[in-house]
Amino acid sequence: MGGRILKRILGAAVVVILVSIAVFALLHLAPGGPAGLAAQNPKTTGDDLARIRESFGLDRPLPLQYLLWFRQVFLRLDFGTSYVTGRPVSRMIAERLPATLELMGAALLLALVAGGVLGTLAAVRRGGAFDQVFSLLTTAGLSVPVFWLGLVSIYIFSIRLGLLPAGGRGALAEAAGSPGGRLAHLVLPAAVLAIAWLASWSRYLRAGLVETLEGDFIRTARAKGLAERSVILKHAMRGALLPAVTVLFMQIPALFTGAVITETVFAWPGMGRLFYEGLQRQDYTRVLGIVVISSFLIILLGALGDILCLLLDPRTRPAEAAPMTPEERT
Amino acid sequence: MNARLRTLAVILLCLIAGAALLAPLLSPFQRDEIDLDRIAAAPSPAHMLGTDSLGRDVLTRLLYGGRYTLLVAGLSVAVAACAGVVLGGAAGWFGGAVDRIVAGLVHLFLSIPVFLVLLVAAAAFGARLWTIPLLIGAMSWMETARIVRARFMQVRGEEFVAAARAAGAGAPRIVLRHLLPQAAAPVTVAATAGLANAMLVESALSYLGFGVQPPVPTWGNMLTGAALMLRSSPAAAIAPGLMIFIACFAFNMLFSATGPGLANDRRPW
Repeated sequence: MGGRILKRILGAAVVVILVSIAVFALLHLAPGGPAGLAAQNPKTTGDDLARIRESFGLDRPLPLQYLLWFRQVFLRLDFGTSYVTGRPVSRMIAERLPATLELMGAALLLALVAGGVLGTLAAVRRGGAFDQVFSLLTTAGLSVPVFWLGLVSIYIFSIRLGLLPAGGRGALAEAAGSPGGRLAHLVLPAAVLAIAWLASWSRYLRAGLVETLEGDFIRTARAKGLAERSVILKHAMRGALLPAVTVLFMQIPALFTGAVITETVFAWPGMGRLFYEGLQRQDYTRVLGIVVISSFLIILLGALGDILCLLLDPRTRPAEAAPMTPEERT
Repeated sequence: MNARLRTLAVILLCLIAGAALLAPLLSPFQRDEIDLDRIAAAPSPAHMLGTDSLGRDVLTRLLYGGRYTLLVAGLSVAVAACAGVVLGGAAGWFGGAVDRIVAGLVHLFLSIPVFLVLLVAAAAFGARLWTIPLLIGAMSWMETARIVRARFMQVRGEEFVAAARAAGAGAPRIVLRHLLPQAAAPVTVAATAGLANAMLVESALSYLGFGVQPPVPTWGNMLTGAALMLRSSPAAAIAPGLMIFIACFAFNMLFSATGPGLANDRRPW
């Protein structure tokens, strides 16, 4: 067990380091490199540029620059200062992260609850009218461009109906006065971000349930005279939930994709929009910092998912007498 | 998914592709033709979907946009399939260290914020019509690699391979003539199932301004400033996204309606 956890941590560290190297290299490949914005300014003289490059440490050889950045980030947890705002990148991220986590948390909750109910109903009535509609709607959910769904929902709910705000997160003062103000701002972006997640995980749940419902133990449970409700919720769900939950956690990287897009469409002041604005302004310390933090979060959430699965399923708990661990089996 | 819906999907896709191909015949306007008297105009008989913020006919750009959107999606899928076949094939054929390296790559690509990296890469390499498919393909080859490797592992020990070897065939011949055809069908399925996804990624990139650059229209980049046009000309701000949605829906109906979607397992194999 200890060995497995150690292996996971090592693997995660390698992933974060490789991603940071790749993104570091990409940023330096960009026209003009990290000082590109200053170079585009016609008033910048060669001397100025040299001074800028020197002050950012860009005159050093690339591998050395990376090693210095690496030491700064991983040993001192300091992501440097933003080229654009001059503020510490860690603080900029820390300010925006809660908004992103709030949005993701709300989307996750929505996807879990709505997807759980819909997937279960579709599995129970498989082949029926509801199942067919479910299949159509989830295919639609997987086919809809997130940003366009955002635009359409803004058009319908805030421009035509005037029900919900078109963007922003709501002022804190407003939130203190009425929790509804803050919540109203969250509804549209969370729902839009949840759609694709909801669609794919409820399909997995449905598929898993349909499969387990055909198992012998379900027939036994039914033969014992258990109510259908308890057969589905207690017996079948136990077998089907696990793979579905695994899938849910596997899709966390996709959630970061969605967050960048959703936050941009709804002007949600989160990390995704911070990243996008940073990329537009060629603020490379910021971009690099956010990619590293996102990779780290993805791995952390993935590990949490694995632990959850271990707790949910006795079969994946490695025992002394276990014939094979999952690694050996693959 | 029943047959009628599949037929509908085929018809929709043919209509979209046909309209994109015949764009010059269907529209009286040029792709980038600007009408300075009608900027961001509401739909009228002359401009059925109105004009955009530069006074270009939205319907015309929608037709031409279909060409580039479909082209980029197709090329992306082709790049992904090639990369997947090469990497998965190498892993399956050589095994051992090569297999472990490819497994590590798959694991890496499945556990990073791919879209963020894609945005950075698009900014670095410059968003051109030919770099975007390369980049999208480079980020979506993993499923194909997994399939090819599994198939190679499975058939590597079969008698017909031993027979080919006994007949004096070298490794390249065995791989190309005997193993690869065995993987062709599942690779085609995976590739076509990736079409909708490639289209969604391209349109998101283009919407954010890091994809295909105007004046070349794609359905994604036609929506770049759409948020500001929602009030004045909603048709222009909504129609391109509807096209993406319809095309992706039709692709998904045809190709991945059987399973619950592509497997999303972070474990390589």
